[in-house]
Amino acid sequence: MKTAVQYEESLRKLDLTVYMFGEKLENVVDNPIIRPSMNAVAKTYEMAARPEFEDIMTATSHLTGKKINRFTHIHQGTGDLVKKTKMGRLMGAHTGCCFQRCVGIDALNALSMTTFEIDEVHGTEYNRRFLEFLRYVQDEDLMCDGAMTDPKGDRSLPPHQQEDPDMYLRVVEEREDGIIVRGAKAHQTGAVNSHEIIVMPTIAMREEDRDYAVSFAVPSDTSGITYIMGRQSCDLRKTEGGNLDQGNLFYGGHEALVVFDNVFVPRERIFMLGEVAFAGHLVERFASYHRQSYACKTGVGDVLIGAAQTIAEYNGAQNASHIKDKIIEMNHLNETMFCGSLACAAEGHKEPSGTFLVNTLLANVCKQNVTRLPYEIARLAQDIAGGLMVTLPSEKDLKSPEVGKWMEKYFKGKAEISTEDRLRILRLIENITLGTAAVGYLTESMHGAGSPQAQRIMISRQVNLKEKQKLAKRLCGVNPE
Amino acid sequence: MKSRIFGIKYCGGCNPGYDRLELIDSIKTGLGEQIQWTSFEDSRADKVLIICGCSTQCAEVEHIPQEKRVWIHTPDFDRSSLKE
Repeated sequence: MKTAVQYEESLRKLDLTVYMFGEKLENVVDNPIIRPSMNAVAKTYEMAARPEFEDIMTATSHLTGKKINRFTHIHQGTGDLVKKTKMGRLMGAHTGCCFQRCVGIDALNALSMTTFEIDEVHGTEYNRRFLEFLRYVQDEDLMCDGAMTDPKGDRSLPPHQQEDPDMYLRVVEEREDGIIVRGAKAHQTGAVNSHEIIVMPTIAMREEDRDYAVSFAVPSDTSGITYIMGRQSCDLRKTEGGNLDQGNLFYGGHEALVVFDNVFVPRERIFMLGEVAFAGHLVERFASYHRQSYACKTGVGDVLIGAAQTIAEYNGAQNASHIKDKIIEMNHLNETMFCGSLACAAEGHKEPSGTFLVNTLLANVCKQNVTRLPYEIARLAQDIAGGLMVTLPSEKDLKSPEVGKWMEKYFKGKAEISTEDRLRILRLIENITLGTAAVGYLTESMHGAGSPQAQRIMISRQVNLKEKQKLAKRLCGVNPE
Repeated sequence: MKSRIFGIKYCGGCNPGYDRLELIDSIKTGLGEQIQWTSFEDSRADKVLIICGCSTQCAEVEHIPQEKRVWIHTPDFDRSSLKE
């Protein structure tokens, strides 16, 4: 396994084409806006090496029998699925943000099943190729971006009917040694912190969409790939020189638009090519795993609850009954999310490929809760924090020889707590509920792994309404039909 | 002169009810010089303390011989058992 230092060194060797604020970045790793996100991924390496976390953070490869980082593991039982849920919470709690590595494990596990099943039907060799790629990922302990979401253009039209045919990533040329692809993947979490980009289709497809039914993996610095960094609320605070106003001093997340401008993919790295019937299959598998992955928000919730309790104490309000009740409610909501992720893991099952898949109904229920509950937890945290969280002057004012004394005086809470400590905890709450980390804690909770309606459709497909009606009719004496 | 060897195995610590590292520090302090500490994978260990953050006690222990396992999931466990 790589150490965190080795991971950072490996990123420095990549020749990525990254744009931010209209300029090409010469040094991605040390860019102050991106670096916290690299730190968060590096934490997945660091924690795997620590005895007090390794039971969750590592696994035994079913390919080699070697100890590997769990983020590269293929689930061999429901115990592995449960540990993945726990890993999400653990990492969320220790970073307070999106640590970006779950899309990779989810893409790997989904492809382990879909490549197997395509081969069963078509006699192809995608699973062999995939397993070779997987072995490489495990041996080198690589960070993978699972790239699914296409820009999608006009949502009422399928890929082949879009006015601009590049609105969904597609094959533009097939050669003997591989394919040329063009298109883009949007909202790519952790893209510039990744060694490999694993591309998957974004929706179920029909025969006319054959060119769009493509899955593959390429190194992140492959020629023709360009990254355009997404902005985050309050992102420029990371460039101001201080550290108080950032809220979270160490960690953050990032998303990017990843453009594939005529990118060559060697044949050995292709995992689906035109098998349209399996596009939806792959999407559903990936989405189910990824909806389980939102246990990470429970970990971020742990941080937010801790921050809310702390500011209550710093304000001298911790014994007020309504504050206690709000903290209880935050915990209730937070553990409800954890319950969903744990349940879909514990109720998982073995697929024909040997990979264990979560219970897909419960995974969708889990994620549906995650589209809502962090917003309520955040509201309660802001309620407890008070308005100062958003009216607070800057760190530079606190350090100002002219006005700093007044900030020290008038923003004091409990006598034994320093003003600076009080302001630090307020900035952390701001960071998670409306600053850079709110991208991950709130809006990503809403739309990541599919927007709320996507889960509702899956829930409606999977519940057995007829059976529920039969139960009701039996109890009240209505004759079954 | 150290007379016994203890290994330490932790659960993953996803949602611990107490600080597992603080607990092991206090155990080490309480037992003093008489114990040599090692990894749970060290076959020389006389006992392996399995430090779990909650009563689920989910740590994987299949490679630890049954007779060496000492399960701990709360700071309030009976410490006299470690001196036997």
